[in-house]
Amino acid sequence: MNVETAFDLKDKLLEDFKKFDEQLNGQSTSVFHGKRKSASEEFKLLSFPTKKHEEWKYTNIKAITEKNFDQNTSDLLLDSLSNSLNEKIDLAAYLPEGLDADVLVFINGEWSSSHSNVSHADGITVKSLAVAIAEDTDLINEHFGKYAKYNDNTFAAMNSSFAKDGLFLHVAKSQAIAKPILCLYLNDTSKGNQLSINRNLILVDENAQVQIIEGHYNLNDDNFSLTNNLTEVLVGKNAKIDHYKLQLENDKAYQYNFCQFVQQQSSTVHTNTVTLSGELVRNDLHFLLEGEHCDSFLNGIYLSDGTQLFDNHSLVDHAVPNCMSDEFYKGIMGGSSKGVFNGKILVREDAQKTNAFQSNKNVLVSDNASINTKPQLEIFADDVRCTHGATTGQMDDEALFYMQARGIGKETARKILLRSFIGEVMERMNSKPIVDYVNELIEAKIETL
Amino acid sequence: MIKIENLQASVDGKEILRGINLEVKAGEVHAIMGPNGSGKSTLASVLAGKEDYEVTGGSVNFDGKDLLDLEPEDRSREGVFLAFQYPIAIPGVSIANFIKTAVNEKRKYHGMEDVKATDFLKMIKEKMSLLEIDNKFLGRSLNEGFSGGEKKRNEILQMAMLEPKLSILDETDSGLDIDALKIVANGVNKLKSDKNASIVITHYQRLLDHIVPDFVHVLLDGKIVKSGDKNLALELEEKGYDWIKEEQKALA
Ligand SMILES: Nc1ncnc2c1ncn2[C@@H]1O[C@H](COP(=O)(O)OP(=O)(O)OP(=O)(O)O)[C@@H](O)[C@H]1O
Ligand SMILES: [Mg+2]
Repeated sequence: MNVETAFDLKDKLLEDFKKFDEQLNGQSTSVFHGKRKSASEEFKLLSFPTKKHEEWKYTNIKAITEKNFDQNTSDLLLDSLSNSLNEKIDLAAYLPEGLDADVLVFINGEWSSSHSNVSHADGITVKSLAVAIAEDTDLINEHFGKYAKYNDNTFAAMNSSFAKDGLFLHVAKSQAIAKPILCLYLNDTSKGNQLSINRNLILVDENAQVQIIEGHYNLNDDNFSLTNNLTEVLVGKNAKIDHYKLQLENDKAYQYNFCQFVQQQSSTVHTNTVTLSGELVRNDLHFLLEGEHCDSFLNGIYLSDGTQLFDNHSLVDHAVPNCMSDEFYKGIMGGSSKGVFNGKILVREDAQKTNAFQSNKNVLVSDNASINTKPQLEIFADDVRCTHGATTGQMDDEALFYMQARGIGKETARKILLRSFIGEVMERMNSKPIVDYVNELIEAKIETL
Repeated sequence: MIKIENLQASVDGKEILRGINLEVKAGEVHAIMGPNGSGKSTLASVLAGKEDYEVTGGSVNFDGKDLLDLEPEDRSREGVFLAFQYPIAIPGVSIANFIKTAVNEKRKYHGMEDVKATDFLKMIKEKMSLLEIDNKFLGRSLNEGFSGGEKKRNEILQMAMLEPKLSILDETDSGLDIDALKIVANGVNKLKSDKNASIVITHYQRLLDHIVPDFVHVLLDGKIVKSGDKNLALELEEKGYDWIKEEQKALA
């Protein structure tokens, strides 16, 4: 007889879903929960990707799937009356200086109203998804789960089956949000290995404008954390979004992140992904350009050391003519860390006059660091302009010597070179407070490389 | 100021400098000429401290210090300046920031405070106007997309800002048009004093018309085989190097 004793995260999560489903009694017939149930069915059919999976060839997630994770509610979520410790997190560490934002705090995937601070303005709805499910049911039922596909995506199916909280943002027609929206996702692992599921829905109507910043952090390092973050963004006609994702978890943290933008006619999206810490980070960033004359800018910075693995997968789907996409990612890898970049550009048959640019540049600062970078162009239209390039190099010794010959110490010279390498991406970011904040973090990270 | 004795250096086991002897005193200008591949740039690089070259023998005394014992950055801070034959581009680092960093690193080494931003700006603008470099260059990335001549002028700008004791100009004239050559030479001459010195590496007399050398040396196969005054350069211009090579053969 062969007894299988190995722990299986998928089985454990299916068990969790069953319990979750049973607890819900009343809600269990809602449209929303129906969507969760379908996702759970899909999740059941899928398995966590191994290195045999083409899209996960260089990203081994065994360290994640071997572990048990629970969706614990943090004690920090108890409101101050019932919170015997009367403990509040000092958010100062997570707030970029000079950023006057509406702040939404999620701890272990649940909205913390006592830590959040949201102003109310006409035409703008900013709230926890959990609240929106009850209050904005029609909008949620119409849009939730419509844009991010979870078929053949185990993590997305997992996110969709447990989805219950996150950011809900609706900017009505022609509204421009004066204040940026800052979402802080904080993991508290004090009760055990933590699974934090965040699910965001962002609807930006015609002519509206918004700036969104997402920051990922760990509050402590008692245990491991697994963050599964999924964001759907519908960008209306002529709307503009300036989006930042700052991945700053600790070295006991794993993160899966899926962001799907759907752009309607003449809309513009700038998205900036900055990955500076976390033990394993996988990003799936997808764009669907379904209206003409859209602009999409995808900027990325990743600096890894130790045994970190940062994997950036992107897909820009040019479904209609006359759109422009520009992807620009740069990374520095030290220690025995690994980078993965896979940028897919899909230009469909109808998408004539597409301009698609992609560039990925890497510097390896240690002999044991590595990067697998692969552009993937699938072009079915004939009148298009696509350029792509990927480079990987070491520190430029000639440049180092040049600087030394001007009296600049070798270490300083190294830092200046690395900083200026990354600087080219920083220049593409619009928010001054975020640029300053990120620059400081990069500075500190470069010190360790 | 600098005394080079029997300096030998090789790269990848290949001997390139085969016993160089040269003394340069404060206030002097020395020209080094010689055919392609004779080792002129190698000598300059060895003096500046490039790691690729292994010093296999000899010594270099710079103002009482063992130059070969210093890191490249310390040689620069002590006052050795090399204007590169092929300056490197450094994208994302502006000229202004780069030079300011260099100036401050030198000041720090000598126990001085950082230069005041306003003083720095005033000084660099002054030097730029001396070298007829447009102010817009301040914000440009170092040598990125610069024309050959712009790169050379930028080297001299850095020299002017760092005020070295010994400057080594490696073919600073190459890539310069006639007007630019005069401007650069004029700049170099203005910086000249009885406290500093220059080694000018060149193939052409036209530079030496403007920067008049006190001594001219011929480098051949990694050795200085002939030295003379400025007339030696004129003679080389006229006759080339074959006669010196013949002389060397006869000696051997
Ligand atoms: N890093 C290196 N690796 C291998 N060979 C080298 C290296 N640097 C110089 N050499 C060789 O050493 C010799 C001298 O080169 P160097 O650049 O010093 O000549 P040069 O006198 O400056 O010539 P030019 O007038 O063309 O500038 C040449 O044969 C060159 O190929
Ligand atoms: Mg040379």
